Amino acid sequence: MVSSLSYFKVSITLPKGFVSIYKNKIKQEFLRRKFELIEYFYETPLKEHQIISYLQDADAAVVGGEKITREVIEKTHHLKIIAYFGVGVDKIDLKAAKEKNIYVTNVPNANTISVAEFTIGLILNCIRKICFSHSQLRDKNWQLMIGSECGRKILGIIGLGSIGKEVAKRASYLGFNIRAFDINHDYEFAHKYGIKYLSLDRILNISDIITIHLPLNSRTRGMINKNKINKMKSSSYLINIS
Amino acid sequence: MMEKHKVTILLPEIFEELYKRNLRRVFNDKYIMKEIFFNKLYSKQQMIDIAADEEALIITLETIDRDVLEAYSNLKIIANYGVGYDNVDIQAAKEKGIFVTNASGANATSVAELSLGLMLSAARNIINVNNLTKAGKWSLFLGKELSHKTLGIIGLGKIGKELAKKVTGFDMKILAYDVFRDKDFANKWNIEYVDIDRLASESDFISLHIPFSEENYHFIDYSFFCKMKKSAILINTARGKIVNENDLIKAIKEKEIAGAALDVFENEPPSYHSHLFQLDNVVTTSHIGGSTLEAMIRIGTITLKNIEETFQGKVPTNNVYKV
Repeated sequence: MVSSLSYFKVSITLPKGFVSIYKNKIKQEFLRRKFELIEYFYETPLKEHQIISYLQDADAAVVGGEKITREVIEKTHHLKIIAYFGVGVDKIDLKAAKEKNIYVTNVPNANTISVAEFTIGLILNCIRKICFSHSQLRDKNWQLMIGSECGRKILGIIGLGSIGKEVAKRASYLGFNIRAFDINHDYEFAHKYGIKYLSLDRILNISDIITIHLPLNSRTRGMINKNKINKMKSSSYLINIS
Repeated sequence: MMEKHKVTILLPEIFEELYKRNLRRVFNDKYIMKEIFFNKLYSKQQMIDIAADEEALIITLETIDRDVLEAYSNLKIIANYGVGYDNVDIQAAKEKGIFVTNASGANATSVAELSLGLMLSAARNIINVNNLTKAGKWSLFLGKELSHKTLGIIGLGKIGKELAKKVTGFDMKILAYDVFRDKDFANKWNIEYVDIDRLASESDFISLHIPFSEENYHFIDYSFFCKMKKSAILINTARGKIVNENDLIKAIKEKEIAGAALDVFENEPPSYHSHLFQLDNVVTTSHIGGSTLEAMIRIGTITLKNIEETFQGKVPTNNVYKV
């Protein structure tokens, strides 16, 4: 059994930005298991014909932002698993993978905190105009600007899943009044942070800041369209990090 | 009928709209107001040139030293439309029997929130990524999480305390350095008071929340930066002169620390030739810490009270020196 695994071919195609993390934390683990590694780190995600050449003979593929289409999947010979280096697998044709008995895995909670923190960073950037002030200074223009405090402003969270909840927790300590839209209702969590569940339209109407934390799928694609945006307050901000 | 007192107010022109809508009426009801909305902070000479017989002077960051005070014949109070008052010669004012007031605590929330915003902006390189994306360059950046990192707060006064409360949701370990120790607060919010060296060496993020005085001029200098972690980030929303800017530039270039976020500078406006403005890992904002609608209105209300108390013959509650 061990000797047959020693030729387990793993293709790793990831953005250049992840090179140091891969080399410092992951590569040794792969080598210890005597995997044969084919590595490629790219500036821009690989095109279809490029990714085919990597996946064709691999037993396992670690992928980042590439589009893994039906065409790609059907051309693979031994692929057993597509391991997505992240959370959102919307670029992978799940149906095609299932038909060929190829597992598609992700890492559901690995970046939850990072995304939630970044969301707060974006919110504060918007209401305090940090980027704008910085740019003005780099243009040699000392310009005061007026922002607003977080306290008692309404934060509308669209999608109160793992990430939405971490955002809610941080936002509540900043004094935001939180309203959420989700098909599932976690009343215990909502009660703890003073969150009310509302319909999408009602949230759009009243929020000072709207932040979206939904996966991309057939139901959510194009959900926040012109019609929905028109319902927002003219003084409000839309944050999309999903 | 009692004659109305004369009051002069100087504010940056960006606040004119806010003042007009929220404060002008109540100030005009009580006093004979002279309003100056400037696009550039008045110099010491300009403050002398405009001096007349006003009894109250409402200022922000203008230099009010002995020479300026001599030019005003009837002054009873200098009401700072803000919190920091290092620009006023307190000793000279005290000798002349002129009160100096501020709006202590009124902008604590705003400053704390900006400090957090700057911390996140620096940790996640939001400014540069924003600019690159808008320029069509889709780039990845690996930043750092705040979660389970250590935040060192230098000065656990009103603003430092607000910051400690607001980062509760981020699961950070909080160390504080202050000459005064509020044990109740520290226990309630899980903060550990430490000496300055420990704070310097253990913190991943260090935020300054102390007032400026001659004693802490260039308190944060090269030797301090060398004690800090090489991955640490400095945030300053307090006063520029607390940090030695040349040492900061040197420390960042030599990678003694990872970066900084500054809302205040040794000179404001700063010299744009400074290398600070060429460093990618320095976030810079134009002293906007207290610049929110809510804080400015709160400050206005307190300033009105400070002046009213003076004209009632009382020592204003927010007088910054002991009478």
